[in-house]
Formats: sequence, structure tokens, C-alpha cells
Amino acid sequence: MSKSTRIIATALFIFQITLFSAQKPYKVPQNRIALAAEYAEKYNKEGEDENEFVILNDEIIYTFEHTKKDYTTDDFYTRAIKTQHTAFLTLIEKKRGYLVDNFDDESSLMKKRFIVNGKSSSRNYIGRDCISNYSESILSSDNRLCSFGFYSEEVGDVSELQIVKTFKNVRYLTSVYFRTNKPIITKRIVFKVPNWLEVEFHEINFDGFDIVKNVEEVTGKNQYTEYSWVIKNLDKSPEGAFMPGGTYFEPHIAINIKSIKKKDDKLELFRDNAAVYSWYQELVSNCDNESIELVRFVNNLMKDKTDDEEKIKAIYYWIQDNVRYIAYEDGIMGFKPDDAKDVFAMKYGDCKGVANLAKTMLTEAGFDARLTWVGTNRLGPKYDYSFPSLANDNHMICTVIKDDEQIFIDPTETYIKLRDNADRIQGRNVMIEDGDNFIISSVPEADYKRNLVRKNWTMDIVGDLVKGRVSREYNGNRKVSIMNSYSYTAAHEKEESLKSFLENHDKNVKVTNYTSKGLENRDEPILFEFDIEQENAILNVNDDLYISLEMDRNFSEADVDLPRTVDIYFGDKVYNVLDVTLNIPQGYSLDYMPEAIHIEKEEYKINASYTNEGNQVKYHREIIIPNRSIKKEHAKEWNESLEQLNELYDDQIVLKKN
Amino acid sequence: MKNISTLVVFLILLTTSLFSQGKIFIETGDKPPKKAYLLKSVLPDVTDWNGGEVFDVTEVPEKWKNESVVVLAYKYQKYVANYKNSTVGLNTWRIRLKLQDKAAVEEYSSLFDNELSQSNFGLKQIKPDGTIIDILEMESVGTGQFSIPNLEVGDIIDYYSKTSGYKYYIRARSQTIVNADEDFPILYKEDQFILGKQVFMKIKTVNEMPSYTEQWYDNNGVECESPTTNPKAKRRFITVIDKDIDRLKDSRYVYYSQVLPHMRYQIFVNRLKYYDFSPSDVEVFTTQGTPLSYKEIGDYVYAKQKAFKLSYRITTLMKTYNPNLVKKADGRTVEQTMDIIKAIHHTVKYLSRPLAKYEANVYYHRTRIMDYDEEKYRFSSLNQIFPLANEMDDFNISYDIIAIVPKNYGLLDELMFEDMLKYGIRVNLPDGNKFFYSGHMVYNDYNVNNYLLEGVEGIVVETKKKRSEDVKFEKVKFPTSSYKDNVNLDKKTITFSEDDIKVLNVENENTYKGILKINESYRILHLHDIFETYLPEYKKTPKGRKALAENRENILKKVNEERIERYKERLEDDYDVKSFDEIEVINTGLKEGVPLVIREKYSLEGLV
Repeated sequence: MSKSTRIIATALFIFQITLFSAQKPYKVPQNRIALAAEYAEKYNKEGEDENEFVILNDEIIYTFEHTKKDYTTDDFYTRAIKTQHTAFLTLIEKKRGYLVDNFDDESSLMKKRFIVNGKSSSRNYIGRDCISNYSESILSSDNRLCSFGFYSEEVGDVSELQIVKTFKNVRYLTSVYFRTNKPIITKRIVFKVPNWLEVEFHEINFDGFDIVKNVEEVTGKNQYTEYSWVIKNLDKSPEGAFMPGGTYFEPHIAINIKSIKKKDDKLELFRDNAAVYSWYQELVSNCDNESIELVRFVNNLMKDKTDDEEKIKAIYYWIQDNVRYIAYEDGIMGFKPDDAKDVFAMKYGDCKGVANLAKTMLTEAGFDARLTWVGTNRLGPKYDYSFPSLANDNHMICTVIKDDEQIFIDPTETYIKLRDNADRIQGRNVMIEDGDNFIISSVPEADYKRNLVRKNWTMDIVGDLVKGRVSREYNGNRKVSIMNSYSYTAAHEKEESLKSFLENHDKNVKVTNYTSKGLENRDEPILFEFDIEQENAILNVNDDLYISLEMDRNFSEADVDLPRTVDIYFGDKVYNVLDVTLNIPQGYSLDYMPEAIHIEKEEYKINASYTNEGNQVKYHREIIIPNRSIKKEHAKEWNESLEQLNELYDDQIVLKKN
Repeated sequence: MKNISTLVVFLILLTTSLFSQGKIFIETGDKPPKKAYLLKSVLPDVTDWNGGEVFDVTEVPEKWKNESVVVLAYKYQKYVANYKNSTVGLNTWRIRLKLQDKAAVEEYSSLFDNELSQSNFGLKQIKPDGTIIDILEMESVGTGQFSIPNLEVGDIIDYYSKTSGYKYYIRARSQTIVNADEDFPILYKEDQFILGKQVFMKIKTVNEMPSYTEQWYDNNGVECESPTTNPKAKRRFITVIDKDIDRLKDSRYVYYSQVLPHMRYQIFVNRLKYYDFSPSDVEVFTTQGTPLSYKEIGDYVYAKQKAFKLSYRITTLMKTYNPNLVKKADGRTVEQTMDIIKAIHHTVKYLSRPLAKYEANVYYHRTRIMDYDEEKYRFSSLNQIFPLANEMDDFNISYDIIAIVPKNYGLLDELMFEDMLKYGIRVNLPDGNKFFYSGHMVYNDYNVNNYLLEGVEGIVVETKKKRSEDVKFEKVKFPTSSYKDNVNLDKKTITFSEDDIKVLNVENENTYKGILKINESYRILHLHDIFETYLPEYKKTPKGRKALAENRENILKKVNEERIERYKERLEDDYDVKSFDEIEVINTGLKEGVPLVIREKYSLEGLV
């Protein structure tokens, strides 16, 4: 090769390298930009939070396999593998997106892959960011919330994340959900169930969702049954005020693994509630509760007490007062109670630990006390033991059976009296231990009157001030929460905090001469009485006095965004009563008072009225929500009722100078 | 414990008996440290349960009986050694608390602290009758919480935390410890710094804070004279002890440096003296209480100017969008000079970014999402004047740096810690007049100075070319603005609606000038979003930068429109606005030296 040829060849080679090394920037195709614009118009409505992405396709496939290594001998080394493939379409440029999943000691990440516009890439992959999912109320938890983040520059980008996760023990695979915090165009959930695995699926909250189920037998080397559910055009999970837990309304599949076969062996898991109970009992039976100190202590506590009621109260209240509640959500400790003797010694425990302590102490005192599993009202109504699942309960209490009465003891409560059950467990089904068997029962629903909050104010006008004497009475859940707050307020802050509470944290209000009853006695209501002086409550226009007799404006901001797709849920039953009596000052007469409102619906009642009796104007207002919630179909009606109520709150009486 | 990090110090007993008897050092009992320098270290053990009478106290003074929690004793010990001219250290703290009510038991029964998860931890629990329930010692609390068993009202808990790692690098920044806490009173509080060979410390106690004591020990743990007379002196103990500290009743409107007893200290080794602008001439044993010399200040200014010459891209940008600015200094008018200063200020105003944002991007650096060079635009408030000064060099503008102690940090002649200095610029205008410039406060105009510098005495440091050069110093006062320069004029016209008497029509005109313009501008213009909007374009190529410069006004206009939308949203959230008829922002604050005027028309409901 001549010198000149070599030079030319070298030049060509360099040119070639340059040609191929110059990366052509990716250009998003017009059709995808148009698609993004279409979805942006559909899902990003004015006045609502914008969706930076839609999920074009979200597929979750579960497969099952026997593992080679001995992980959990009792479960035949069986694990579930979840493969999730999610494709995000960018609607707004330069945004970060995330795929979020929970991990714990029973699950782990096997693989992740990130693809941008059809090519594997690490360029815009931000990484995995995990936070421990515990708070100060949880002593320890293995739960970690992990987000897999990416960055998208252009509208129309398609970013795909593939996450493979294993559940080391299929026992803990209980449910799978459809919705996320982004709209989904197509969602597919698939279970490939081998013939050695017996599993049952429960479709929960499917009503109103067009979910198509398909079952297909797949033959060949690996035989399995493929169960799949597909839904298209799924809105993101609803958000807003007064939301119940997701299990009330989210469409999801509850998974019940009944049995596992391996060769000639067969392991029964959760075929029915008896099997669930049996597993629970096995964990409970491993508790070592015996302790001489504990026996001595109970005997001492029972000394001089002859009445059964008094004895049960002594134990129940002692635990409430002296044993702190701290949650464990760490692996098997999420299911197995601590030994009663340890909880007694440590003076803290989770719900299972304190329930076990209560059972041990009550048994020692001669009562028939039993551990009891219950799902609080965070769980939807379907989780009532109508099908076997570990997801039916999230709490443990203790039940005393006495003269055919079931007395429910929830020692995680503080300042609750015997037979007064918190709203969170009222009406919930429970599983009570009964030797080798179990009893399904339910915690009685209390009347809404349990939560009565009543306020009375006798009011005088003195110059520019409104003065008077106020009484306030708190019962039920509100009483318990006030007692809690008061007892956990530092000694040097107690008086100031209480005064500020009575003054509604309003600088115009001054409270003096207050008395309180029941702040440290769970068996009677809390009663406050105090003198009050309020500034800037009267508007004087040409000697006409304008004044509002509403002091609290309860529920004035409880309206909800429409359309409402989820029931309005208040958590507690509501019974609020306010009575105000205004003595009309001398030289004045009533010129105007707002019209009364009387709203009586099946799910709530609102009454508010002014009356004129001699030289007094009386204002009576009561709000009752007897069942904690209002159906979503009635949300518009609820808002209209609140509009009426707010109009009355905004209105004032007018006193005219004679 | 949760409040340990806020807990702070001071007083000093002139004669500390705690470590003055016989063999005072004990082995720590830890695993043999890897580093040779620590093998030699022998420290007094704060964690010794029998270690001193201050940790035996059980009674609370009568005046504190109604307190929720009382700290009976607290001791913090920081050991610092010199390892290859870096600092490494060992931190230990111990606290003894009496819990006097249920709130206290609730607060302290679960210990939850990141520090504990990385530390050796020990705990002793004492019942009211003096019974010691248990002594617990463990390597680490781990993640989550550590819950103290069987805790009741009246109990004392006494616990310590000791960092087990030795990679404890201490920046040569000054630190502050304040001896007041809103959560509890403190009966006894001791802070102790143990400094190895070639480790130096400056310390100053302020606002009636008790002074420190100083002791020297040799390698055998025997107290001795200082190295000036005894070459075997190896370790210096600086101890500050305070007693009987009442709980701080109300910290609102309290600026600690002006009111509360506190101490400030700085620990450093020689290597840091140029790198981190520590004193250039360290007087090894006499740094305590000694104010900075002018010469030292001159050295800092020199070093910072060298280190912060980072802004060539800014110059490029300015020249691109306004080539007229590039003129020779000779024959330049005052107006032309001011135009350049205005342009420098205005450009950097939108390129500087808060430190937190910078750190976030460093964190994400591996993602290469933002691969433009953050460092070029990062100016902490402390040092930002130097890149600005370098810009002036590029444009041949004559100036001098002024070193100033801000109002709330005391007087220049008493200053010991160089990181408390702020800096300004005195521009020498072509007509012989001077223009004082204090740089950026996020959205200030070029002619609005930092209020912390106003009226404060500083020294003018002539620019020098070499470290060894002597420079002249001149005392000046930074000019003070008149209250009339800082105007907020709020004109509201409210009328009843003719259609509905319950509706009020509001016409509002807000004018902001001077320093009062800053906050309002800041509310409308969030720096973060400006970057998100246009800097990624700018980063890519020289062409892109040029395009940015050319489209600058349009881009900023677009950003402004978004701001106005947000402003409306805020108003709608804050007030019960029924309808927003019109909002007009006359000047969003983007123009230098021009008042910000916002005109709004809206209707309100619910007030009548």
C-alpha cells in the first residue's frame, strides 16, 4: 500500500469512526407526542393536580417455584416471584417519575431494568431510594418503602421499568391492587399457578370496574393455570378528605394459598379460618407467660377486691396506665405475641403483647380470658373472616367470657372504660380463641350518643365585650383523646395548654375561673366550666348590634370535592350539641334572627335554630352522624347541606336600640 | 435525648477536680484502633458509671420540681487528633435525666436517634428509691428505636453514646454551643475538648458565658506545664463548665448571638490553613481569645479570590447578550461602569443557587440528569462576593474588597473566627467616587445592600497579587440606607358589589422598593423553577448558550407568567376569593432598581 493510499485509508477510517461515533439525538415520534397530548387533555383537568405521566401498560405476573435452598422448611421451600413491567408515557417535559414497592425481610429485589424509548439505558435512571417505613409509634419494622426513580426530558418519552421481586414465603402473599397514583391505560395482573399449588382468589371491590377475568390451562413442559385480570383506562387512586382505608374501595384481589404439594408431601396452609387459627395458635402456644413476679403482682392487685367487675377493671386500667403501646412489625413478630412476663417486666409491648399480658393477668385472677384477633375499621367490610386470610385482622385484643357475656378488653387504648369500645373496633368481627376451635363473634356497635360533645354558653353583652359562663362536656372518643393529650402534656405546660384549648386558640377569647372534672377519671365524662370574655364579637352599626351565636362552626369545612368516588368517612360517630343563650341587653330588642335549618337524612342530621323567649335569644345546634360515614352517592347532598349550615354560621342576629 | 443535638453548654470551673487525682487516664477498652495515632490515645472515660460525683446526683432543686424533665448532669467530650494533617476524632456524650411526669416518661422511654445507631451505647436506670435496675451496654442501638423497659415517673435515666468510628473529619468552620434549652433546665453541664499534638483550637465565650480552663498532660497522663515550658506536654484539655441553667421559657424573637450565653470554637490543623482559610500564621499555643489580625484578614481575601475564580462562563454569557459592555476601561464613563455592575449582578442573580439545591444535584450527579457544572454557579452567601469581584477584573473595573463583621456578630477588632466575616466591594468609579456593593441576597437589586452590613465598620483590603505582599488597610463604614429607600405602599380600594351586597370588590396596588422588594420578589420568583425552565438548555453547547442569551427576555417573560398564575393561586388559597378578574404585575422584580408594583382586582365573599 502506497503512502498516499495509507493516508486516504486512515482518513476514511477516522471519518468512519467519527461518523458512527456521533450519536444522533433521539427524536420522539410525532404520533407519540400526539398521544401524550391526547392523554394530557383527558387526564389533566384544570384545577386538579397534573399527571406528569400516564402508565401505558402495567403488567404484574406472579409465578411460583420450589426453591433449592432450605429457607422455610414448613413451606416446602416455596417462593413467589413478582415481575412487574410498567411503561410510563411522559405528558409533561423534564419530570421525575417513580415506581414504588414495599419490601421487607420476607421479600427482596432480584432484578431491575430501565428502558427509555425502546433502549436499555442508565442515563436517566435515578436509582432506588428506600426509606424504613417506621415511625416513633413503631418500635421496629422490617418494612421498607422503595421508589425506583427516573427522569424524563421530552413529552412523548416512553420510560419502562421492570422490577422482579421475590416473596420468600408465599404465606405472606395476601393481596394485589390495580390502581396507583397515575392513570393507567392497560393494567394486567397474572398468576401462573402450578398444579402443585392450591390457591383461591377473592375479587374485592370489583363493582363498577370493567375488569375482565380469564382462566387458561397452559400445557407443555411447565404446566400451570394462568389466571389473568385486565382493565383498561383506569383512573388514578382517588385522594381527598375523609377517606376510608383503601380496602374499602380499591379494586383488588385477595390471595388465599390453601396448600402446597412437593412430591408426596402436602402442606396445608390457609384452607379455611380453622387453618389460619391453627397457625395463630401455634405461635401463641410458644409464648412463655409464667412468672412468679406477675402472679404475685396480680394477687396483690386483687387483694381486697371481691367484685368481679372491680377486679377486671383493676387489671384493665392498670395495663392502660402502666404499659405503653409500641408496635412491632418485624417479620414473625408481626404475628407472634411477646411473652406476658416480658411485657410485664418491660412495661411496653405491641397489641399482641399487651393482649397476652391482659389474658395472663385476668386468667390468674380467675377469669375466662382469651386472645382475640380483630381487623380494625381501617380494613374494609369484606375483611370479616368470610374467607380465610392473614389480612382479616391487624389487631389483637382480649375477651373475657363471663356469664355468657363477651367483654372486650383492648389494652392498647388509654383512658377507655370497661365495656366502652373504641370506634375503631365497634361492629368488627373478631376471632376469639376457644381451645382447638375458635369463635367468630363481633364487637357491639355503640350508639352515636357515646361520642356526645355538648357545649352550653350563657352570654351577656357588656359594652363591646361578650361575657358569660360556658360549660363543655366530652364523652367517648373525644374524651379519650383529650385525656391522652392532657396526660402527655409536660407539667409546666399543662395549664397554658388547657387554657388555650378552652379559648379555642383564639386571641380574642379570654378564659378565667375554670374548673374541670373527669380529666383523670375514665368512668365519667370530662366537664369544663369557665367564665369567658370575648372581644371583637360584636359589630355596632348605627347602634344596631350584629352578633353571631355560633362559637365552633363545626363541620364548616367538611365539604368534599365532587364527583366523589369514595364514601365520606369520618372514623368516629358524631354527636355535637351547642346551646347558647343570649340575654338581650337593656334598651335593645331583637330585630332579626336567622332562619332555622332542619336537615334530616338517613346518614346525618343537622338542626340549627334561633328562638326568642322574652329578653333572651336561644341558639340550638346539633349535628349527628350516626354511622361514621356518608355514601358517595350522597356527597353532593352533603355539600349542599353544609352550604346551608355555613350560611347560617355566617349569618348574625341583629339587636336594635329601642 | 431526642433533644441532645440542641442541648448545649458552658461554664468553667477554674479548678476542675474531676481529672486531677493521680492516674487520670484510663484505657477506653475499645477494640484496638487501626490508626497508630489512636493507639497512643488515652482518654478520661465519660462513660465510666463510677466516674464522678456530678453523675451521682439524684435530687432536683426545689425550684425545678414542677419541670417535666430535669437534666441532672450532661457531659460532652470531643477528642481530636492530627492524622497526616487532617483531623480525626472521637465524640462522647453522656446525660443524666430525671423524669418528673408522664409526658417525660412518654418522651424518653423510647430513644430514637441516628447518632445512637452508629454508636456504642450504655444506659443505667435508677428508681426513686435509688435502686439501680439495670445497666445496659451495647455496640449499637441499630435502626428503629430502643425502648427503655419499666420506666416510670420519678425514674432517672443515665446514658451515653460514643462514636465508634475514627473517620471523624472536622471542618475548620467555627461551631457554636448555646447553654439554653427550651425543654429542660440543666443542673450541671460540661463540655470538654481534648486536643492531640498539632491540633489547634480557638475558643470564645460570650454573653456572660463562664470562661474555659486549660490543662496540659503528657503521654503518661500526668498534668504538666504547657509546651512553651515543657516539650513533653502532648494533650491540651479545654473545659467549659456551666451550672444551674434554667429552662429557656420562650425562644421567640431571641437571637442567640446577641442574648444567650454561648461559646464559639474552631478546631483545625496546619494543613487546613490555606485550604480552608484558617489563620496563615498560627500561633500554636496562643490562639485562644486572640482576635484576627488585619494581615490574616488580608490573607483570607487573597486566598478566596484565588479559589473562587470560577465564573468565566458568566462573563461569556454577559458578553454574548450584551457585547456593548466589553469596552476598555480607559475612557469608560460612570454610567457605563454602573451598567456593567448592574449586568454582572443581574446575571449572577439568576445563576447563583441555594446550597441545598446544589447538594441535591451532587447526590443525583451519577444520573447525569443535570450534567452542567453546578460548581460554576454555586456561591454561598459567605463567599459570593469573590466571583463577582473576579467579574469586575474581567471588565477592568477598579475595586477593593471590604471585610466586615455583620451587625449580629460583634465588632471587627474583637473577631476571632474568619468564617464570621462577610465581604463587600468598594468600586472606584471613573469620576473618583466610590460605590459600595454587597452582592446578592437572592433577589435584591444591585444598589440595595445587605442590611446586616449597613452602617457596619469594615476594613478595605487592597487587592494584592502575591501572598507575601504587604497590603494597606483602611477602615470604612458600609453606607446606611434610609428607611425611605425601603417602601411598601399598599393601596386598597374596597367597594360593595352593586349586584350582591355580600360581595366585596377589591382593587389592590402594592408597591415594593428597596429591601422590601426582596421578599415579595422572592415570593413570585422561585429560583428553582427558573433553573428548571431554562438552564438545561443553556448547559448544552455554546450555540445553546447563545440562543439562551438571545431569548433571555422571552424565557423570563414565560417564567413570569407562570409566577403570576402561582401568585393568584396563593391569593385564592389565603383568602376566600370568589373571582379573580384581573391581576397585573407591573414589574416582577426582574428589572434592577425599579420598584415592584402588583395590581390586583378581585372579589371577596364571606366577610359581610
